[in-house]
Amino acid sequence: MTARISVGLGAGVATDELDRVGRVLHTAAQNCHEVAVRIPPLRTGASVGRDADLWEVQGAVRQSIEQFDALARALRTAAALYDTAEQTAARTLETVASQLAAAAGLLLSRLGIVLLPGLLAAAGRVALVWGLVPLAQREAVVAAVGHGVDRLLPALSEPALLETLRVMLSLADDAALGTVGVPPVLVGLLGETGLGLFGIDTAALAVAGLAALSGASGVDPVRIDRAGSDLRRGGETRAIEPPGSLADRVGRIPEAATPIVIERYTMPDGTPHVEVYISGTDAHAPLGGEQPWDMASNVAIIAGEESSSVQAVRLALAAAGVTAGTSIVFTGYSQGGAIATLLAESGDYRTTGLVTVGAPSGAFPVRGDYPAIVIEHREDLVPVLSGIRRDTTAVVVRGDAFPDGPPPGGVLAAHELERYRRTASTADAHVSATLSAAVESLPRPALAGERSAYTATRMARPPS
Amino acid sequence: MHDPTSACLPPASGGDPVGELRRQARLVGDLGQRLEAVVRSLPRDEATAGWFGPARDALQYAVDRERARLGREGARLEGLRIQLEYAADQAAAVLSLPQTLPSRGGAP
Repeated sequence: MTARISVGLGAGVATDELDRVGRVLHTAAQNCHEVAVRIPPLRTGASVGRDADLWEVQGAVRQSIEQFDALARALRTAAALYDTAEQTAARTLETVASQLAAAAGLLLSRLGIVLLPGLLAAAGRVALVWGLVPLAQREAVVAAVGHGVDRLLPALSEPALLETLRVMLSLADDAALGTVGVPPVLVGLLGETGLGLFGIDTAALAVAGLAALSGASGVDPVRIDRAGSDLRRGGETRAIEPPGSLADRVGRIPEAATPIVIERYTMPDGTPHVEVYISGTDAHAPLGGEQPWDMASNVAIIAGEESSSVQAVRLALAAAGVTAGTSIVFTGYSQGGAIATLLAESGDYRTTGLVTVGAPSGAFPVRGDYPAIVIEHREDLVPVLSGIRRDTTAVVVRGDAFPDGPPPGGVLAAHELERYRRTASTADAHVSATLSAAVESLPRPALAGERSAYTATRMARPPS
Repeated sequence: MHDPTSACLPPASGGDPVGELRRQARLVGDLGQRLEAVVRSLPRDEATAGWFGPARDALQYAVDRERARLGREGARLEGLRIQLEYAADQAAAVLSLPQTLPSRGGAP
């Protein structure tokens, strides 16, 4: 079974499907026209019956031509309208939902004030009873709860649930504003759908602040080093061919141990070109430790802060001689995709392309005049974490992580880089004018270039 | 696979009714094959299986209707081709008859 791929601009509507069916119908109309124009010379007058039949065939084929043309036009119009209409509809729905979330938050906070004494008393009783329960029975209860959680976890790979979660995460800040007493109508004006003063980044900023208070800062300075043992030459550099496909690009994304890979090429016109590949989060990295590709950096990025990992990529680019005029394509996976999006849109570089896979980058707009391709799995939890995707001109490719059915266990199996490489390979073979145009627009160096990898180490900020 | 240029054959030279009928039969047969190819190329239900709603149903209904219409006209062209082949066979049979009839009372 092959993976189902859909391609859309911006919001992720499968407009390529509308385009494809429209093209089929347009071709059908052209072929029918070829038939229709060849019928009149066949009416020779030798047989009235045959001539009448040919008249009828010609009339019927012309009716089909009109129908096919009308349907193809309608599909093209629908494809064009989807991109704008769905975004508008989604924004309207989000405004209403944001006010509802704020109202719910307000109501719950008021209820909380009324019910708090009772709740505290109830909690005290529960604790008392829990303390009286024999140890064996307590362990049985804990095991049962754990079993229930294990059964719930696979649901986090359900596409419908993930879409709901994406919306709920976008509304978390609205509910929080409602909780502190901001009127729902004002929340709609201040939030992501209004002035944009509060959003998922605000909620993440609060989390980042709490993490920093506990000593885990995702924005501490970093040091980078060229990977490789040849320290006299400042690390190893090896020759490499230019990337040839989306799967090739995704396959070049490094592991978190050497999270940055930079390839330098010369374009046919003699100008320099750089490809940078950025790894995903190191799942085993301690929060706020030496490894900058940790959750602390993730939260800092979503909060819109210059995380340690973002700083590391900037340092590596500077070390590779990248200037504001150097053509650069950013390719990143997971946290690396979010970093790639931030840097591509920062205005500090001459971005000529952006490719992200499984990135929590929905909150970051992509508005630049360069080809941008976003690949996501429908079952992947990570892209959902940044909330509703908004304000993007990127080509969004959504694929199935499990074309042959979900594997047993592993909530984040849909987020594995190898699965994304396979989806990128499927996308390479997928017929879509939108996607092909974006891929073709990526710079194509003619000759082999040089590849360097970098490690990054977070340095603890000296106490002030 | 049919030759896409066959429907553009030059007209047969005059004075050969059998050749002309066979040429017309080939042209009609070619047009019928073209219509069949169009019918085969039209999107089936499974092409839009991931869509939903009345717009999808309307699209599929319209495509099915055109599929039926072109299928009907393809069958009509096939009938015409058979008629033309038959007419050509008849004309050939007539032309192959002896040109001189026996004279009345000429035989002893």
